[in-house]
Amino acid sequence: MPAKNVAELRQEIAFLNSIIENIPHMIFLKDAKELRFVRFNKAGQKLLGYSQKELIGKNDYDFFPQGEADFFIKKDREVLKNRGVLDIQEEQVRTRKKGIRILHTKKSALYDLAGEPAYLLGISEDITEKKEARAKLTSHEKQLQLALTVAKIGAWSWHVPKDVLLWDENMFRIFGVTPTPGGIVKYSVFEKCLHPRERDRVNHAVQTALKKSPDYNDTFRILHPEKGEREIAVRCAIDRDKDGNAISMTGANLDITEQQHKHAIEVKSKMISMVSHELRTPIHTIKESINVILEGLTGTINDEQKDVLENAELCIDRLTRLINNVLDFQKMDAGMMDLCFEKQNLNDIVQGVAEIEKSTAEKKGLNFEFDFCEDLLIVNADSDKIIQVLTNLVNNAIKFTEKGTITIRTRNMDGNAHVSVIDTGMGFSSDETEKIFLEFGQTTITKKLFPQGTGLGLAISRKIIEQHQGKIWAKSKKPVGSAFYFTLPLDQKNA
Amino acid sequence: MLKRILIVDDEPDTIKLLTLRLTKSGYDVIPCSTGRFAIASAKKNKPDLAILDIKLPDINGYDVLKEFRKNPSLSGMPVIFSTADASVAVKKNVKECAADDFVIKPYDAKDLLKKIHVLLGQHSS
Repeated sequence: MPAKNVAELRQEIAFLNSIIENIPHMIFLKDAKELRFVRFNKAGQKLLGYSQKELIGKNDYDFFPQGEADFFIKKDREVLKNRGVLDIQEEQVRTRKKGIRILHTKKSALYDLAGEPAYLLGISEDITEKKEARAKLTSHEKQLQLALTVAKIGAWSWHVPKDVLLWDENMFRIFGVTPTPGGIVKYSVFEKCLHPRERDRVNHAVQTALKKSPDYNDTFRILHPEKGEREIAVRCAIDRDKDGNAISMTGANLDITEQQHKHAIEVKSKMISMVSHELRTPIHTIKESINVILEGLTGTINDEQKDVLENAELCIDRLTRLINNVLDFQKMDAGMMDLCFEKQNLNDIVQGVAEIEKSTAEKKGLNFEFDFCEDLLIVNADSDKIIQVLTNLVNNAIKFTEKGTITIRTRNMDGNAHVSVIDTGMGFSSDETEKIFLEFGQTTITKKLFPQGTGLGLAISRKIIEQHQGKIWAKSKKPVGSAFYFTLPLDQKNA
Repeated sequence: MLKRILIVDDEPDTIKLLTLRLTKSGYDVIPCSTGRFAIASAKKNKPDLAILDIKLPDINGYDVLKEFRKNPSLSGMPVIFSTADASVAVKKNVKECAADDFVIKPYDAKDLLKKIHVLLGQHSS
């Protein structure tokens, strides 16, 4: 061989060696027969923590745990048998100093002149950090998605020129749309979800935003296939190309129906308590002023003055009742009638009311009869509210009865306490039976005869009884009289 | 000696009318329009009973009652709350802070007088 060629060859080998040694990935060679180590480059020695000297002539079992070595050898045999390059995306290796590392390895065979495999060549990249970073990212992504799910926030992105709208799972849930592969929908899918009355407005708002805004924030109503009308808030940003054309919209949606409802109730609640306080205080002053004069505390008054003041007093009491009724009704309507449940004997409550009302009935020349059952009627009830219902029923009975008898009866029936208030008054027709328990459901005659009624008494009574899990109803025969009934479930432990 | 009643209310009209009625009924009346003034006045004048509004301009009636209860000479004094708030919450609060009784405006002054008589042990009237 000419000297020059030898020199050239040496130079070439040195060059190749330098490349192999300086590549930042581990490069190794094993002999094809026994799979003993023939060579490790610098990166390989550094990664495994063993020197070339320590490695040469040894095999995988001399350095790595049985399982790992088995895996390496198995893969080596595969490569030698099948030829070609084997790409092992992830394999684990126990190193001397850096613990367990994850490698991405490619293996192939090197052949001798006869075409038989002589060596096994491996190139490995340490992807431990990369993998950790990716895992972290995935876990952050998962956490974000979880946070969005918990917060019921739907995330989306809309490629405007292509009309590709990407929805996450929450978006499908919020809008009640069956999820599509990859979450891909079109703007028209969103548009269809909108409440018909909102469509034009929202379309216009979106188009306007696309033209000139950096973002689009709005609330709109949708029609959810199961939940019906829902209130949705949207916040999103618009990306533009250098000419200012909108490229994409990215944002989040949130179903705010409950919050809106809660807010409305809070406002109502504040208003009720404000109105309650602001009305009661001056009414009290007027009432007390009238009483002080009427009682002669400020000096004697004549009969005519007394008459006028007594009228004023009646009006004030009527106004008080009206305010109480309206406020009660409002409270119940807003779901704010908080009841104070306590165990009590319903007979005691009924008796208390009956004794007070007896004198009113007798003043009007009516008989007043009690018919109490002998059992204890223990119910879990707000006594103030039950008194309110009873007083209302008995007052009505007295009001609508010109002669005859008012009967109050209690019974123990089918696990319920039954209370009846029966009169011999004018009665009402059967088609009015349902109506009278509705707000402002007074009968025509009632309105004519007693225009000062609020039309809320029975509606409130019904709500109170219903909140006690009881029932209230009425029967009547014109002109024989009426009967009003209500039931309250008996407290089982005491039944 | 006349029984002494402390009235605490930020409504001048209420104070005026209640003072008139209670004076005519034979009580010595000390009117106050704020919570702090009521505490100071009670310590000084040692009333036999207090009628306490809940909503006051400075501190609320519940806190005034707490101050009364802390003071040995006022701890046993009967207290009737007077309020224009008819909510169940108020009733619960009144029960919790162990007031002796309460009236809700607009109340019948005769009922209030009855309650006062009972609390002062003057059952005769």
